[in-house]
Amino acid sequence: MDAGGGSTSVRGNRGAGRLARFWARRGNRTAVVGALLLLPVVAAFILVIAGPLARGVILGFYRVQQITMNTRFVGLGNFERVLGGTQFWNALWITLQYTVGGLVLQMVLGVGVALLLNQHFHGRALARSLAIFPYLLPIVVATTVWKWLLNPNYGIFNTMLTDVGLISQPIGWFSEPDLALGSVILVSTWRVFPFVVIAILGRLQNIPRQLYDAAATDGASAWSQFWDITLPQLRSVLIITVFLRFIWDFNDFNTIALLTGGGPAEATLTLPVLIYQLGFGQHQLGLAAAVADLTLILLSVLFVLYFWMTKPLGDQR
Amino acid sequence: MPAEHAPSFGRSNGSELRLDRLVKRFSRGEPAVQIDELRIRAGEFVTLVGPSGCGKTTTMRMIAGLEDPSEGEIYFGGKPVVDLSVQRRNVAMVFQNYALYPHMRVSENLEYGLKKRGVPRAEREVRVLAVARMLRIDGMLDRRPRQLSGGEQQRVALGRAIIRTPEVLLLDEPLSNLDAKLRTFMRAELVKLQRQVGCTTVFVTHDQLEAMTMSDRIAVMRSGRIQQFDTPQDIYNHPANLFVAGFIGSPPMNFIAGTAEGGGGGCTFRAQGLQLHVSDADCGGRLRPGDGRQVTLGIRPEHVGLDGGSGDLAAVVSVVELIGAEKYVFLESEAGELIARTNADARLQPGDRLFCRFQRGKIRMFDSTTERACVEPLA
Repeated sequence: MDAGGGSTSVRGNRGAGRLARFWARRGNRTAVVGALLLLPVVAAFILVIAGPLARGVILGFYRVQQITMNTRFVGLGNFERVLGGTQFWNALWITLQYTVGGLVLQMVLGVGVALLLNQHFHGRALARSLAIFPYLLPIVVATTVWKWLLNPNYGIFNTMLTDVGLISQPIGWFSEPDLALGSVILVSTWRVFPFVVIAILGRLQNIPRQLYDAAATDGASAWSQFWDITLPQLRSVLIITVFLRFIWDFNDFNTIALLTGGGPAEATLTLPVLIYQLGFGQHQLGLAAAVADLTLILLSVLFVLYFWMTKPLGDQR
Repeated sequence: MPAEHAPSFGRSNGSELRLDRLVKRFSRGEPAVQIDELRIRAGEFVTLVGPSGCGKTTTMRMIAGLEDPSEGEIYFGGKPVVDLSVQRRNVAMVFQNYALYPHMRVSENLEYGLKKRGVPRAEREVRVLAVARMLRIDGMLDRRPRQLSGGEQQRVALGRAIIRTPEVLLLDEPLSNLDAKLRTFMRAELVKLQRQVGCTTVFVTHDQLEAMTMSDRIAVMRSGRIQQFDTPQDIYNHPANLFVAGFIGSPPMNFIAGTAEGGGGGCTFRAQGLQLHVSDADCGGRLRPGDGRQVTLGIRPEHVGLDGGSGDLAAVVSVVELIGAEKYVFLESEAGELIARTNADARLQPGDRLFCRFQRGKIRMFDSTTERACVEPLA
């Protein structure tokens, strides 16, 4: 016993000595303190982001009882149902139209307005403030105002178009299946293009003036200067703006839910609205989660491809 | 530069450049630039030098066409160009921070101007290679500007400018971003290159040493006006006014304020602790009459001799700075502070009492009111 006790004590002493030596090294102390400081953030990340995400992904493999919330594992059953039907594919096609259409309009309008606001003119500060106004407006207010403006009965747009003789009778911009998606895209573009303006304008202001002077002495016209200097200099900010706007528009629920709710006749039923309708309208949480999982996979694959093609790390400054 | 690197991309004929009553106003009040006439000969290397804000860069930008003059005309080889856009003037410019196109490779930077002027691809490639060899950047044609050192970037910027064999080459402080050693080297390189290419060159700097060492002629500017336009030697030896005398030369010329009596053939200069008869010969020119006038005597530090026994002005050594091969001796005297330049082996200590002797023939006199030189250089 004694001998055993002695050996334990020696081992304990050795362990304490090793710990003391470990702690004596500044690099080790820094590493331990660093790890401890990171711990709250990692815990919060797991709790708030990774946990719910994993729960959502897993839910796609279960059937969920509506009231009891009891779950039953169904494997790929939900995915088979979703991919086998037409609703998912329609929603995906509409989502892509909504996202790409909106993105193109936002980028063209955003870059154009940013270029204008980068010029020297009287009242530039006021113009810049006005340009970001739509982005500051609460989405409920913005969509309500647009619904009023485009209303077939009392909307000013229809009245104006009828008055000038462009249309013979009022148009239901949000209620006609052929027009609804386009109208939603336009309203969404109006609301979010200021984001593109802010991002592009910030970069434009940092392009050295001398690059344009050099290009001009090299014989470049204003048009050439835009293609050869401005656009390449905007490359990195364009890549990141397209990336962010694509994700945000692809996942945009609010605008469509508030303007059309996915109608008429599913003409504006995008994937986020479909997920909502499946999950909270039809109480099929497993199916909704499966659609969400597919959306996540789609976006991930798209953006791996996107970054691989655009190489945003090669900053051109 | 080795002979085998002689440019095969062409030699500029260089045009005479003339600025005629050129004025630039940015707002109401004094013009930023006001030049009555500046005539630069074809192929000449002229430096515009002056302190910050003196209008030299604005003048250069007007020559380039990047800035519109408020009044006046600019002629390239006798042709007025003020109404021509920058794209249509045959000028090239090297900017202070080089302004290389960051997203283009070196070769693309070099050929950009040719491309915009519609030069066919085959000819562009030949010229890029020729200019790159000449500037020894042919090994880095595929790199981007950020992968180059400051000196390499500068050579690319130069290459981009000369590849078009412009009539007028404008250099806006192109050496100021280089370290001291490289700057000394590039001064000589730049002059050699300019001789080879042959284009009329306007160089802007605030560094009087660059102006002195590189130029055929120097235009010293102050508050938008040209103070003196002359060869470096004449500017140094016969400054037209107090500003030029003080701006050109390092350490600067010593000035002693006093009065002059007599005139025509010589005068007696009096200041606190100093009385000096200055003849025409003493100041290297014809001393204009100015009896009783307030004048300023100017003498360069290398023309102040130090003597323990006797001299023109008694002084006490305050600081001695060893600058390699020579020493700058800072002196205090009744007439004011002075700097003398002596050999490095001169044994001097702060507190030493001695006499300054002003080298005859090197004394300069300026009217204290008008600040103009009151000596006319002998023809």
